[in-house]
Amino acid sequence: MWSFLSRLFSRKPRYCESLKRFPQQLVRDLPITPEIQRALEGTRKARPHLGRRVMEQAAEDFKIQFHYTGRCLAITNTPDGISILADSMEEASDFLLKLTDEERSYVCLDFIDYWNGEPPSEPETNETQDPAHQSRTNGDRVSPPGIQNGSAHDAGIPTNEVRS
Amino acid sequence: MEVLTTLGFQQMKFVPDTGSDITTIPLESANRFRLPFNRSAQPITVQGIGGRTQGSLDQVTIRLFGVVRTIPCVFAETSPAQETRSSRPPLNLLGRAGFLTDCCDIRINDSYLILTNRSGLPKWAHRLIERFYPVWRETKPTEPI
Repeated sequence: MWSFLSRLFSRKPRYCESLKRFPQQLVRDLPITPEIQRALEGTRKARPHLGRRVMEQAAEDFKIQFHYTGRCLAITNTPDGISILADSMEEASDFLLKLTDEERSYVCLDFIDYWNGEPPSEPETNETQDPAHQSRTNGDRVSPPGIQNGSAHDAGIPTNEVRS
Repeated sequence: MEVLTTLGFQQMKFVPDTGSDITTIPLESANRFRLPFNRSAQPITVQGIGGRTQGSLDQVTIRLFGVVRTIPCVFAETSPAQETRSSRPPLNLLGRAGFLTDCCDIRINDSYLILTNRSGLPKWAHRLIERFYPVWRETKPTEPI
């Protein structure tokens, strides 16, 4: 009875230990930019009654939307918050093939809306950039540290390619 | 919501859209994530606030509240021109057909959107109301002013 009640009221997310073997990016570790700060302050002003947990969740949502605007993500829950396993449609598609059925049930495909409802500005060409760099600038916006398996940043923005 | 792919059920995020007649999945993500559908299914034109595009009308199998259901779905192409005009990236939209019409009730409370499974008594009550008070059948399209 006690275990049932504790499970019912527990805030621990469903979590798959074996997904740890893949490189991933914790949303908690993403930087809070001035834009995110402004959005959080706006939320705090509009809804001063919101608690700490809800504001932490809002901060995670804003971080994802700002750093991964317009992209398709494969995400999972961990005890440390949301973790990003793949950050483009191509990568997420390939990533799902590496998983077992049980692991796949812990992964959710998320399509991120644009920050402030505007598509990101034109990406710079990657030819002149050093691929060893973990971050790059896109306009005035700093890209996330990213997933450290090479192809995570190649996509940049979602492609318009339609395959029929 | 879980969607059946060739690998099994996969969680995918959908945006519930009460203004959309039918569930819409961009063709590119349907191909990428191996959703089984008939590519030569009934061609259909989808019109939204962002413009008009072509698609194929078929079905998609979902698992919601632990129940497996098959709902109609449009696999829509996204043209580059449309995407640059649009204020949103191509998202999966959860429309009314098969979802709000058959299996779920929707409630908006403050900034939360609450979905509840329609089962048992509410489901039968809904059917009885449809059976004896077919009001929607009597409404006729009005003439444009």
